Amino acid sequence: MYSFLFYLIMEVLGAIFFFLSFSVILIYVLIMILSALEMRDHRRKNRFADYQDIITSPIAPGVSILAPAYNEGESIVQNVKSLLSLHYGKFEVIIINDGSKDDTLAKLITAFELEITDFAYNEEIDAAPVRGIYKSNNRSYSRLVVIDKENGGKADALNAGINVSSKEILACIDVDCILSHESLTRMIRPFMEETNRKVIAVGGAIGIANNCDVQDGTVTSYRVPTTLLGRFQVIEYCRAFLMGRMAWTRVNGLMLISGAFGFFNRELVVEVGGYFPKTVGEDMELVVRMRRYMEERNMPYKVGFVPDPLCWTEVPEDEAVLSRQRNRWIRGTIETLQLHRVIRMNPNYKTLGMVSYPYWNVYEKMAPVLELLGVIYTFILIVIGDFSAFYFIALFIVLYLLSILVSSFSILYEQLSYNNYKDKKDLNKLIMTVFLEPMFIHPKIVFWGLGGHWDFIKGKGGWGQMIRTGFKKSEDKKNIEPITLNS
Amino acid sequence: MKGKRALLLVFLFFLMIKTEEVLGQEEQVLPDSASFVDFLVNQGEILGLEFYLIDESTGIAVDSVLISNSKIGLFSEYAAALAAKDSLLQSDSVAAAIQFLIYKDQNTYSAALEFVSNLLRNNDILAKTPSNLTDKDLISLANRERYSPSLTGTYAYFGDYKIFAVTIIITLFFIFALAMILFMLIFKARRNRKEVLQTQYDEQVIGPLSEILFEKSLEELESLSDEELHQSFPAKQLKKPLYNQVLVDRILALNKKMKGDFKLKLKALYKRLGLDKVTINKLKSSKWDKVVTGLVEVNEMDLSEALKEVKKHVNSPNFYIRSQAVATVLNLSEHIDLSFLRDQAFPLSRWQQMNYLRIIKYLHANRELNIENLFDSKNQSIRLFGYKLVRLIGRVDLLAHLEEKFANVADEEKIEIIKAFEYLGVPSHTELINASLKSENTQLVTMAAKAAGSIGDELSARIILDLLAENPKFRLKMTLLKSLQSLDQASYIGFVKADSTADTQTINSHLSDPLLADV
Repeated sequence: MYSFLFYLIMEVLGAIFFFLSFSVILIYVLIMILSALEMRDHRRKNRFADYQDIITSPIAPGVSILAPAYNEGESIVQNVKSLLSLHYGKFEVIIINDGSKDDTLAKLITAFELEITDFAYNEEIDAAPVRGIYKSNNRSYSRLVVIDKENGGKADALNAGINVSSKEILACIDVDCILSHESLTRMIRPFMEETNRKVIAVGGAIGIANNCDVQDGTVTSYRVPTTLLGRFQVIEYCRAFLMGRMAWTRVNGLMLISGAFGFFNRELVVEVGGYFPKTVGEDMELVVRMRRYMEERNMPYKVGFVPDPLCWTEVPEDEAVLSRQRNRWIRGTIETLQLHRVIRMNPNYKTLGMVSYPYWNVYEKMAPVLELLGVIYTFILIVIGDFSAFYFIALFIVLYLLSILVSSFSILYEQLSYNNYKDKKDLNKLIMTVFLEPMFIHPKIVFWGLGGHWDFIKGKGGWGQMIRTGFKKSEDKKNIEPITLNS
Repeated sequence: MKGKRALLLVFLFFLMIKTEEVLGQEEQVLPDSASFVDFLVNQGEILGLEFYLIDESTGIAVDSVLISNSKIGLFSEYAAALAAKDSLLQSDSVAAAIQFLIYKDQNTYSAALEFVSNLLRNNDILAKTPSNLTDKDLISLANRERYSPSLTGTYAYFGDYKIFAVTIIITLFFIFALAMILFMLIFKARRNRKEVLQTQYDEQVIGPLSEILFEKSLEELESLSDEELHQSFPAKQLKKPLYNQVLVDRILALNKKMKGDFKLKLKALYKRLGLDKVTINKLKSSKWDKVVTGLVEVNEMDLSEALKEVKKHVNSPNFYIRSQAVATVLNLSEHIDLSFLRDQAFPLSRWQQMNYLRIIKYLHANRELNIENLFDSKNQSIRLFGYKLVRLIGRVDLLAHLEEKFANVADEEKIEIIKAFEYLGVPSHTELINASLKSENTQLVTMAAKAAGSIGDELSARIILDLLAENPKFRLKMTLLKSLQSLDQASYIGFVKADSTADTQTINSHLSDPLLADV
């Protein structure tokens, strides 16, 4: 009996792994095709867009730039100056000092001649208490608003910023990101172009600034990072932004807009209750909730994506920092998918429920676990003598080549569309990284992802008890089903 | 729910197939009695299995005395039992049968067969190869073996279809991956080469262009012979698409910056080089981006002879073609009454409105545009654009039209009309503001309240006070108080003093703070 069960399980697992391996191949081929079509269209459309008009047009929407800052004293003044110099007519910059323990606020007050005001703060969305709202007497800084509040995390800080914001579009960014002067005009365009659907959010591509030259808030000269980890992230970002998100945009299935550079319709953000502060994946969670809101009301909508290089950030080249980031990403994904599990395979949610959610569930959230199971399965096959070295090596080679194919394709996109890495040596280094990544970096990413799963199970940084006690008000507003580890 | 069930069904079906495959292992290892007997003979002693002979007619055990080679009549090997049975038949004419014993217990033939089969399945015993193969029928022995071709090398490789399929997949992937990398390197080289060529061509055209623009008059340019023209722009080069593109781009860029005679000269040169025909041909292309490129070129170079062709595209289902065609018609038509825009079926996006506004603002100074035509459009987005135009180009004379329309339009349009009245600061039309303040639509009330602050009257102030008494939501309350503050300072102060709610006091502080005057 036990022998029968064991072989049955092995057979079923074998079939599942076989199916998964080939579905991965199929999905990546599809992603390559869809992203190629979307990129082609985007480039064509861009040729005819005159972005100068938006800067001064009275028809263009206003933008509130929200940038939370926590212990950013060293660079905050330079970063805010850079934000204030963006080329756009109607915009305000809202810096949210999220209970910094350093001199972030003091530096802002001094540099921008800020004074505390009697701003009528209306808590439309729950947030930690606000200690003061500052504005400058100097007309040069009239666009700047600084919120000083108690520490509550990034999502909470953004919620406070949303409460203060007054413009139609919210641009939620990381304060240390470098934005191109054209970033607002280009990101606003999708909001203005659509005629039949409401554009609820627009995501932007993020470039890697490590080892690049930056002048006046713009990357002037591109070079690939010096470390293998840094270069791997260049390829990974190309894959994610130029391929993955472009493909999802093509089918209007985009579920994630990077928290470092995302634009949202303010009215809708307030309507759905703002950011969810009890998850580490607040950026993805907000997009999914906004999409749910639109789907549940049968309102036609779109989540756009602009692949142009408009925002740059420094990525971690240190394994410890990168592992923490990946751990957080996977926890954020798990939390968001758990929180919105009602949409899973639910045809009422169309592409979101039937395509995007299952994809994220299997190929993003479960990817590290499935890879671990695959290794265990192979090990068991070796032990019981059913291991076929030939097929194992064959499958391994196929997947290795697929990885090379996909990565090369994403670099090709970068070269075709933007050609930022002009030096041939840089391209050669990236190609070398493409070959090394599956063997030297990917196992680490899987391991860190597993760490994320483990930490989620332990309740680290997740919701645990907090979700049931402190989130009731927002929960009612959002009409979402809270899932806790205990449920 | 249905989807989930279907998925579950598919999964169960899959399990059934797989289960059958596993259960298949329960099949008999020794399918018939002949193979069982053969196996027992070949195998010799099997632990736990013994035999003795019984009289076939009585079923009583044959006395061990009769069997010389067995002390107690028990045999551990089937072959021995078989031999004893034969010898008994020959010597004593006793018809004997073989009785199976499993762990000393008497058992039937089928139980013994199952016992041996289990031992074989669990690998507790290993089947012995018959030692006397040469004595057997080779053909029947061969039939028991699964056929596999005794080919080696290339034949074996292609003979196994699984290996072949896997190899094909790997090869294809390898080729694709390699091709991708090669393509990338080649593309990079070609792109670099193209950039170099573009720079070279640009350097080649900029000199002659400057010469023509600054050293030749329009008449001289028009009287240039082909030879003279080709000295500056060689015919051989003009046949190259990239050179042509660089030349067009450069002329278009100069045209944007130049005025007066220079524009005319550029247009004349454009035509002399035959670039206008290339542009008009682009309008007939099946590719939308090529059509838009042609429209942009027509627009920039003022090629009014292409207007008829351009007008065909103003109702194109393609957003980009439609937008550019409308912009071009607006720019190039001598007489525009905007009726072609009024009749558009597709909704106007803000992007299109922004582009048309720029052109209309520019044209408005010189031409009669009949903006009021847009108010009668069946397309709401066009009507809204019309109201916006009144506000944005300051057509105070059209406010009376809007006032007439006001009562019979949707709230969305009312908001836009009120904006126009507020922006143009005409205080004589307060009825529509005051009526809107009593609306159920919060957005309309908010807009009306905002407008009342600048163009309201005493009645507006009274309505605002009534609304404030109903304790509206924070944002509306702030708008109402702000308007009341500018409409009637005394009423404002009175209300703030009388209403001690936190919201009112917070808003009052905000409105009194000079730093927040523009927030």
